[in-house]
Amino acid sequence: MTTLLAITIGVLFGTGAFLVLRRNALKVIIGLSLISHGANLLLVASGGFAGNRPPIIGPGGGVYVDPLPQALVLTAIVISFGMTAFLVVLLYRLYQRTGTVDMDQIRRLRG
Amino acid sequence: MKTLVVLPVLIPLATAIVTIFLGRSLRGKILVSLVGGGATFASALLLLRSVWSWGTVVHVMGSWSPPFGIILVADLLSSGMVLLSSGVALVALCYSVGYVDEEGQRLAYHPLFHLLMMGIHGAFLTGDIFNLFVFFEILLISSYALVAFAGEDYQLEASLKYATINLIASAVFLLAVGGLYGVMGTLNMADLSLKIGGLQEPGPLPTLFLLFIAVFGVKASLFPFYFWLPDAHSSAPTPISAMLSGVLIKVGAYSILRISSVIFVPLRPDVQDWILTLAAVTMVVGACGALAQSDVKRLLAYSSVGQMGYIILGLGIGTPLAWVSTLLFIVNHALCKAMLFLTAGVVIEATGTREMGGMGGLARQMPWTAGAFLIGTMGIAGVPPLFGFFAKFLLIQAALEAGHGFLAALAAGLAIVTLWYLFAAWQQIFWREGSGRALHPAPRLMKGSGLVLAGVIVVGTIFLNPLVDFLQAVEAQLRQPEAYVTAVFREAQHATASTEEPK
Repeated sequence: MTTLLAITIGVLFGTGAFLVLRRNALKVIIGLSLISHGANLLLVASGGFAGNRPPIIGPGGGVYVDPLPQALVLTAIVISFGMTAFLVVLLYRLYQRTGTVDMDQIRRLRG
Repeated sequence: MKTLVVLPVLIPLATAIVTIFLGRSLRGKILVSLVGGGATFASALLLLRSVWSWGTVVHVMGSWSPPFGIILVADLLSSGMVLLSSGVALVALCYSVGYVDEEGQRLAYHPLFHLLMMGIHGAFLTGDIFNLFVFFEILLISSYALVAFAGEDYQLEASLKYATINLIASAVFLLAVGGLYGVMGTLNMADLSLKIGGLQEPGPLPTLFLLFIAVFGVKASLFPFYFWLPDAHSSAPTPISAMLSGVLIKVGAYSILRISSVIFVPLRPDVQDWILTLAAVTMVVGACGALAQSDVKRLLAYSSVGQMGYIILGLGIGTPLAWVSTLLFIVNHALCKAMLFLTAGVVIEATGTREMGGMGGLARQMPWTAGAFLIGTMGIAGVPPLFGFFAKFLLIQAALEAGHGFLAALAAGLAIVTLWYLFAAWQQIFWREGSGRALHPAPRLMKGSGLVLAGVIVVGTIFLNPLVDFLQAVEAQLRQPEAYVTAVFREAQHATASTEEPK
C-alpha cells in the first residue's frame, strides 16, 4: 500500500511540475492543483495509512488508524480548492483584459 | 486575562465580517474599519503589557488540551511582532481611506485588509505548525486579492506570479508538515521541542528543517525565491505595498526564528551555512536590483529584498548579539519601509508618475513629505543618529565576533550601496531642478500617515536604550525554549483540570 501511495505521489508531483513549467497559465493552474493533491496524499500517508482501518476507535477498542492527518488533509483540501478557484478567476480577468493566457505575451513586469 | 491572546486575531475577523455586512454604506464601513484597526492595536498593547509583567500567556482553543488541540501562545517575540504589525496596519488603514477610491472601499477593501491582519497576527501567535499553515493561507489569499485590487493588467500579472510561487510553497509546507508528523508524531511546537530535544539521531530532521526554511524563505524573499517580490510589492496599491514590505515579509523571518529557536534547536549548526550563504546572496541581489531601478516603488521593493538579506544573515549567525541586531533590524525595516512606501505614494499621487526621472525639485513644494522620506532613507541606509545605524553596526560587530569576516565586510560594503541608491533616489525625487509641472495635491490623510510613522522612528531613536533592553529580553527568552514548553504544558494541565471539574 505504501509503495503504491509513494508512486502515486511521485507521479502527481512529476506531472504537476511539468505542467507548472508550461507557458499556458491555465496548465500552470492545473499543475498547481496536481502538486497540492500530491502533498495531501503524502500527508495522509504520514499518518500510517493502512487500507480499511477506520480513523475512529470502535466499541471495545480494536485497530484504528491515526485520525489527525485525515483531519489535516480535510483542511488542506478545502484551502487548495479555494486557492485554485481564486487563481482561475484571476486568470479569467487577465484573459478578459489581455485576450491571451500565454505568460510570455502577458508579461509586462520585468527587471 | 488569557482571552487577551485571542483578541488580536478575533477583532480583525469580527471587523471583516461586520464590514462585509455593512453593504454599500461608505461612512459606516470606514468608521467600523478604523475602530477595528484601533481596537486591534489597543489589544496588542494590552497583550504585550501583560506578557511583559506576567510572562508567556497561553490560550487553549476549544479546551482541547495540547499537544492535541490548537493553542495560541504569546511570548515577548510574538506579542512584540503583533504590536509592530498592528501599529503599521493602523497607519496603512488610515492612509487607505484617503488612497483607495470610493468604489473599492464600498466593495471588498476593508474586509480583505482585516483578514490580512487576522492572518498575520494568527501566524505570530499560534503554537502549532499546521495552524501556522492555515494562518499563512489566510494572509496569503487576502494579500493576493489586495495586490490585484484595482484590477490593472500589471497588478493581475503580479498577483498571478505571487500566487503561483506561494502555492508551490504551500505544497512544500504540507510536505514538510507531513514528514514532521510522520517522524515525530506531533505538530505542537512545544511538544516537538521536547521530543526533538531528547533525540539521539537526527534522522531526516535536517532535511525537514531545510524544507521549512525554503518555505518561509519564499515569504521572506530569500534568494532564490525572491523574484515575485519586486513585482507584487511594486504593483500593489500603496498602503498594501507598505503592509507587504513592512509586515508580511517579516512573517517569514519570524517563522524561521520561531522554528529555529523552539523546534529545531539542536539542528541549528547543521543548516547555518545554508542560511548564511542564501542571506549573503539575497543581500547582493537586492542591492544590485535596486541600483538598476528608475521606478520608485520598484526600487523600494528591491531594497526590501536586500534588507531581508541582512535580517536573515543575523538569524543565521545566531549569537545573542546577532539576534538582537536582527530584531532591531525587523523593527527598523518595518517602520522605515512602510513609511517610505506611504510617502512615495504621496509623491506618485502628486506627480502622477512612478518614474523618478519625471519628478524632481519637490522639496520646495512638499517639504514635510521630503523630510519624512529623508528620515526613512536614513533609517534604512543606517545613517548614525537613527536606530537603523545601530542595527547594522551590531550586525557587523556580531559577524566579526563570530568569525565571519567576509560576511561582515560584505554587509558593510552593501550598506554603502544601500546608502548610494536610496540617497540617489531622494536626490532625484526631491532635490534637483524640478520639472515645474503643476502638482495634484494628495489628501491630508495620506500625508499625515507618513508623518506619523516618521515621528515613531524619531521617538524610537530617542528611546533607543529601552528598545534595545526590550529586544535583549526578547532574545534572552528565545534562548530558553524550555520556558516556552513549560508555559504550554502548565496551561495544558489547567485546561484538562477545568474541563474535568464539572463532572
